Amino acid sequence: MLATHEAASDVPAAMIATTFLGYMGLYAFLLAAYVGTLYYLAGKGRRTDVTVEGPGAVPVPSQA
Amino acid sequence: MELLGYAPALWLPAAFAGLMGLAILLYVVLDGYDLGVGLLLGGARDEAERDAMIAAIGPFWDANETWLVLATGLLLVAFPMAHGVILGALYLPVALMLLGLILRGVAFKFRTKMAPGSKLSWDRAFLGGSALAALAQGWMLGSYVLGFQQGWAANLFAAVTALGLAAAYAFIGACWLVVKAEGELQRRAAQWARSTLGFAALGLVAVSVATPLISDRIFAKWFSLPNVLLLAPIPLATAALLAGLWLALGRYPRPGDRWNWVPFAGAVGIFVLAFVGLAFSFYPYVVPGTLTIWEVAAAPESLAVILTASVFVLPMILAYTAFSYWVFRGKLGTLRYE
Repeated sequence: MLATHEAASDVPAAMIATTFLGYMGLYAFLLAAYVGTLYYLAGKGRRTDVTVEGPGAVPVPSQA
Repeated sequence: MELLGYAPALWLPAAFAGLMGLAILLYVVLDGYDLGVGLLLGGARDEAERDAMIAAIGPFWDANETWLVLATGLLLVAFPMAHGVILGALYLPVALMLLGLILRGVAFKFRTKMAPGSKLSWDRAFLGGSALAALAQGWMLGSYVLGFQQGWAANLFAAVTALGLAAAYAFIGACWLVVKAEGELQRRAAQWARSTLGFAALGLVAVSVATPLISDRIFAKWFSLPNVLLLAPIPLATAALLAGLWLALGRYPRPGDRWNWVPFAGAVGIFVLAFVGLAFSFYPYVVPGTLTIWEVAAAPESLAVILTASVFVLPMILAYTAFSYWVFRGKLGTLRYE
């Protein structure tokens, strides 16, 4: 019924390219920030001095 | 399915225009104040104050944005041709607004997850995203009022409305902080509200003057008899609210924190009056001066199905919004993410 190129808006290609690059740049930055956050939170959650007591307790191995 | 003798093809587009208008108004008020708090973050003195300001909008900000999704969704399903024309004409500011909303949403979550040293950078990103979204929305308003005209004069007007709407958001955001904050932050919020009120009023005057001048039809609607008398309460009440709030804010916070909700209620009143004025000016056109709601409406059969769904969905959104505001009523607490 309607080909893709027939349904495209009349917004100038340069403007679409600029916003496309803007989105790509923002998402690349946010992805890098997200990976950095994961590393930071994973590192923060590591425990080397935890002692667990009580029935069924399993000693936590040292990660030094 | 006639309503009061009106055929579905007549009343269904009007009903959807009303629903869309309600969604836009609720978005502008609700997300307006949290965008405004984001803008005011630049005036915070230290990290503790920034934390307090973020905590004031923490439980509400993302639910507030659902009204934008609803308004845009209604435009797409009820007035698909207008959706294409309007979003095509406003392509760049819409793209910039979305970039801003994405940035502030992520910054809000990351500011306490990242290493402590980077918190200030994410607060700046939150401020930048809020500013980008507010300015883009103001630019869209100016462009819409001028019927998407191009040229330096149209761009200058859109720039004025962009700054005006950003100031209006900062104003209502400051009024929200008067409700939620205490002590020094509340006192400073009252000052911020007073200092941004003038700029918001300038933007309001710019739109109010330009709207009838740009269209003979709108001029006739406002200034013909008896309309000029019947509609006079709108600008008069707006002017009275602006003047009354400017005077009252000089005396905030009140002893015992009494009447702390009054500035925010007054700000909401100004937003409602401004919206009613705009809606009256442009109705029944959805694309200014070009396409009416009946010319661009979807088929009545489709609208009837969507309206049935809306009758269930809209009260649910209103209900959970009211519930969340009830649960988190009172002064702001400590912001926690865990």
